[in-house]
Amino acid sequence: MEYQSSPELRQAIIDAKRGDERAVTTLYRAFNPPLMRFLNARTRLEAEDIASGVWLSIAKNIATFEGDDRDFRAWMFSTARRRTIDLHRRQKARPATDGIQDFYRFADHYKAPDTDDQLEINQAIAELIDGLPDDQAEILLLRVVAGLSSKEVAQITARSETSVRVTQHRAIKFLSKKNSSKNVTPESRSAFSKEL
Amino acid sequence: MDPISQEIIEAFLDGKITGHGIPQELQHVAQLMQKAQLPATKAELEGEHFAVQAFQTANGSALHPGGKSKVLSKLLSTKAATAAVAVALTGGGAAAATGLIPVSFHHGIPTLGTQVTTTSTTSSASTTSTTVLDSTSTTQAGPTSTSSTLIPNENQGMASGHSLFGLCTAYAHITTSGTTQDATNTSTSVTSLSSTSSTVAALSSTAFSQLQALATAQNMTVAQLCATTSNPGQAHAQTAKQNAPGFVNKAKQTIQSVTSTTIPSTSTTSAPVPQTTPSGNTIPSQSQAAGATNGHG
Repeated sequence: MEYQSSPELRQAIIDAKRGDERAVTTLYRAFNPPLMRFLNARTRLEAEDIASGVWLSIAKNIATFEGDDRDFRAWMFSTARRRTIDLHRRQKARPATDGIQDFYRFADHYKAPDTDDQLEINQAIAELIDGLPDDQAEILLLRVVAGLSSKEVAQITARSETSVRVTQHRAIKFLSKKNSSKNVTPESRSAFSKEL
Repeated sequence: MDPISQEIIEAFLDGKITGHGIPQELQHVAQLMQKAQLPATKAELEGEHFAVQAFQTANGSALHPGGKSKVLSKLLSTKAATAAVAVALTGGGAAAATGLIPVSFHHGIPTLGTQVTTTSTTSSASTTSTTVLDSTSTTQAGPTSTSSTLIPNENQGMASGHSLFGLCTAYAHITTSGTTQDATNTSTSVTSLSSTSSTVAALSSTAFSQLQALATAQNMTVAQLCATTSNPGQAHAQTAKQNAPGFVNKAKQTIQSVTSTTIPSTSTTSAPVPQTTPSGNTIPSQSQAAGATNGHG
């Protein structure tokens, strides 16, 4: 679901430039959860380290940041994405979408006090990207977890908006085939199309 | 014709299609998406206060003078810290003594302290402390413990205690022989200087420059200063032995804070969106919302 802009967060960005504690807390509570979910899905064990680096980078550069909370969100995920790419290059690692087995590894690593909630989230995200090629997984995560629009994802990933739409289309089609119910009727499809 | 067009997928991902409007084949995907967007968990909000301190430090409003290193060290990867400790405990210390530390790392140290390497035996019978000065290899034998210490800058970065004694011992080795020497106790480490040029290089290193400066500050020559320096390790050899494991952790924490100060500058990634602007006049809504600063929490 696309991210909805918030006046509170816009103000928090302004106040965070002064180091206002409440403002930073507000930003952190709003943006760190999706950041951690994105990084967990992309890097697993290094997620916390990268997230820390992203926040340090934001703290360092926020004084010159221009924009609202949507821009802030895009900026944060752009930074996070580049750091994951750097990490993969350094490690010469395979992409993060190599199977549901990996979910268990990073889910085990996630030392959450509220285990049930965290596991449910991790499992859902792992299932979302399970079996997808890396580019499709990344775009889907940026759309679903980060809540960015196709246009924003296109800017972050240096693709055309059309390319993003095609890629996400392939990803969703793959998922729908994988998870499709056996009881799809022509009527349901028709009703769905009319609603648009 | 494709029943699920790009437009439908776009609307679906934007959240413009909900409930019964979602086709059957996307129902499960919709459920997964919903779960992926559940409210924050406690684990995801850990580190909140570190983020606050990072912002305050970056903004120059740190709560206490030591805030920056503390914050950054907390945020630093433990892997990076471990690597830093490994370097400091093995080659880094010797490199400091010989002046071979890369410029960027070397420049980072004086702000927090002076790095010296001491090697001291823990034998209760005969104890000798020797500084390793061979720039090509470090050889240790016997029940020795090597540690890299970061001495706080309370004395303008000058060495003291064990470090001073170690430097003096090394100084004596360099100035008296210039050749391979055996320590009095064969179980201690062996210091070797293979040539006159390496002797000169060692004496011009940062560690010995500071030793010279310390002596000058006290109106003494280095030899005089060293003559007044006793071996503090002798009295506490047994205690040092018992505390050795804990010291590694202490050094790790200290070096963590040193290394963390270099992380931002070595990062290959930087924020892309921010644009250089005149300070204080960036966001249009800033003045409008100025009165509502306390409206969130």
